[in-house]
Amino acid sequence: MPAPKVPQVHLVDDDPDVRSAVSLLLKTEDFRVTAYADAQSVLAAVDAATPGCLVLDVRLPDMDGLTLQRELKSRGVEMPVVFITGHGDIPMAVRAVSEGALDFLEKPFHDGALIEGVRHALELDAQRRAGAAEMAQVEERLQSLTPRERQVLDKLLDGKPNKLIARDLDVSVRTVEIHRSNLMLKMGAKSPSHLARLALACHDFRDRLTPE
Amino acid sequence: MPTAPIRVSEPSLSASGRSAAWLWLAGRSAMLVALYYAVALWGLVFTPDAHGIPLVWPATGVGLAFVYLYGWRLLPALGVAVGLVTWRFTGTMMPLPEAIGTVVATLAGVALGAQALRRLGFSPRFERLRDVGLLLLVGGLAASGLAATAGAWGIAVGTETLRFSDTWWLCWVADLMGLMLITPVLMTWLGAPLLRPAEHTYTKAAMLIGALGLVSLVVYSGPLPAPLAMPLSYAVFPLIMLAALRCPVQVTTTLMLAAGTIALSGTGWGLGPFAEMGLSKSLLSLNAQLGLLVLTGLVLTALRGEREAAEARARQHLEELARAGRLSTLGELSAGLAHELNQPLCALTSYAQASKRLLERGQLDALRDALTQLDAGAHRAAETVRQMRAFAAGQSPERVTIAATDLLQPVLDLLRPELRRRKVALELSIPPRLPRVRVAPVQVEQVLVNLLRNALEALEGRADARIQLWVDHTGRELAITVRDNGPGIPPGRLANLFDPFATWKEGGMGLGLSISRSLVESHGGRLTVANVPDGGAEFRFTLPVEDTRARA
Repeated sequence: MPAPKVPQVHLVDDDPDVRSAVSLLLKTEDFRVTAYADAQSVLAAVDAATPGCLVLDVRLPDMDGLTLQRELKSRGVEMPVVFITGHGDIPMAVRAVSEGALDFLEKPFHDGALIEGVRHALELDAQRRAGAAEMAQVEERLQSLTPRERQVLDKLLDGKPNKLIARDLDVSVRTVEIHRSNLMLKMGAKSPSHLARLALACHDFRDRLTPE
Repeated sequence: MPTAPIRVSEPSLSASGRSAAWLWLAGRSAMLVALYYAVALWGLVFTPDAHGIPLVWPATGVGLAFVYLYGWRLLPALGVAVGLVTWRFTGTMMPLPEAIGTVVATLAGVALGAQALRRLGFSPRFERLRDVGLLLLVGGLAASGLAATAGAWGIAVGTETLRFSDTWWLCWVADLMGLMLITPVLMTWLGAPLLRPAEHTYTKAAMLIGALGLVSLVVYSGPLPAPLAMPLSYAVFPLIMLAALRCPVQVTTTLMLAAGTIALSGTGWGLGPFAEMGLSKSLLSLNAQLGLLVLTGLVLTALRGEREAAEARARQHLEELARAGRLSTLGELSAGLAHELNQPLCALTSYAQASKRLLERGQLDALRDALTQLDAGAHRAAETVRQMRAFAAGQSPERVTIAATDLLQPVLDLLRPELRRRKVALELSIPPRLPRVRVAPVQVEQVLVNLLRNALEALEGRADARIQLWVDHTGRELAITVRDNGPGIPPGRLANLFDPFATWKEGGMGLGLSISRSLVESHGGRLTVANVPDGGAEFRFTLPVEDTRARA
């Protein structure tokens, strides 16, 4: 993948002075910063795979920051957003936060607040990415189950004992036990409860369960 | 103490300046005595018969002017002057008690008159009709009245053949006529100093003095026959009227004195159209003409003063209204301006915070760069504040000669955040080498801001919002046009759009366009509005181009 793998702070502000000053401030904390003058350039530069966080001015020349936030989300970019604004009114802040903004800082802000916000955002992004990786792994493992093992897993998650599963599937208890130990191995689960947690953590799997 | 707005440079009475004060008083006193004696000498030329009743007596007017202007300090000098004149011209004919009585009555008349003028708020600039009326009333009742009584009494005592009442009447006319001629001149020259007269004032005054001198000499030197000279003697009226309407008041009063002096002297020596009737009748007749002349000059001066005062008041009101309009505009723009200030502040604090961190880390080169940028940013922020302040009030509405581009720049700076916020495109078309205009920049900027903000508001919520601003000029006029592609003005509103309170916007007072039109018209321009055929409104205002000869 060509996108940089090092997490970056993506700063978007139309004022060149603000861009240069806030970049400098963030760089003193050893963050990597890329600055953009408008919404279009940041939309062109980042995608779902870009790691990092966004620091957005609410008022941008071509699009307001909240619209940009929504636009990024619709493109699968889930980087946490810290808003900075020259005239933060409360309704705007509420809207931003309800749409998932991490922080809403009024200009001029304290360096501590910005740096804490950015650090928090980068941590969240890293966690989210780690979680996503784990989820992808579980998904992969689920795909490796045989249809029979999948059936057994479904019933196990329904909380049924082996005997009941055997009767439902019209097989012997012994066969169920073999399937069960196989799928535990395939899923890398250490215990039945771990197995349940792994399976439920995967949205995809949980979604497939709900219609029943 | 003076209640009238007299600006006489009175010497300070500090210990060191005391001798200067005495010197000053001595100077004025000497001036009074000399002038009083001189005009009395001149007045005695017009003594038609052996009874010694002069038909023009400006001496009382000299006394009134000096005592009014410089206070009762001048009374001793006046006493000396009156005594001197009485002794010189009546000599031994008048017994001492009567002579003293004459002096005291004259002094009392002048003192009473001066005091009345001060109490009643007379101003020696003759800028109000009331000042003309006061001078005639006080001069006629107090000064001339008492002085005439004294004079008539003195004459009646001196000669047994004349009745007091006849003499009093003649003395009163003589006193009042002299007062009307001499007092305004002294008061205007000594009491109302000229304020920065323009170059052309001197030219105009010189031409008027020349013309008046010529006319008077032709009329009163004698070569013309009376039927021709008599109507010609009225030629001084238009000259005086012109002076009253166009020249400083000093020029008018001096011209009136000059016309009076030439006419009286000529008639006194038996020359000119009035001389034919015998000195007594001719001088009375001439006095009537001169009285009307002085009245015309003073009344016109006063009317002009009142008109100018009214104009000044109207200008001041407009300026106050305009300033209120600017403040309210600024209030409405404040959201955008706050943003405009918040950006540099945010940059400044960030630079400062980064600098602190760089210092802690010992990265001195990076620190120096950060501080340099902080410094530059602070200056940019200060520039924003300066623009706001200049627009709000700080600037005086003084007219300067300025390039049209310099008028536009501050307005565009002020409105740029608003244009950006509302996402309105501004298309400028400003040709190079525009002529210069003579305007009060703050007022023209206000008109521009007003028109641009109206356009912005008309474009509210429009996707392809666009404002066009262009400047064009003919030889004599510069025109600035602001056109938007909004909905235009409702046809029913076009007619009274510039009336005060004719608003259809919410929250607006409807004064913006009304003030704008007044401001443009006060610069000699016009502000017009039209709807554009394919949608939108177009406001256009003109400004007269500065005379290019003036700055060549």
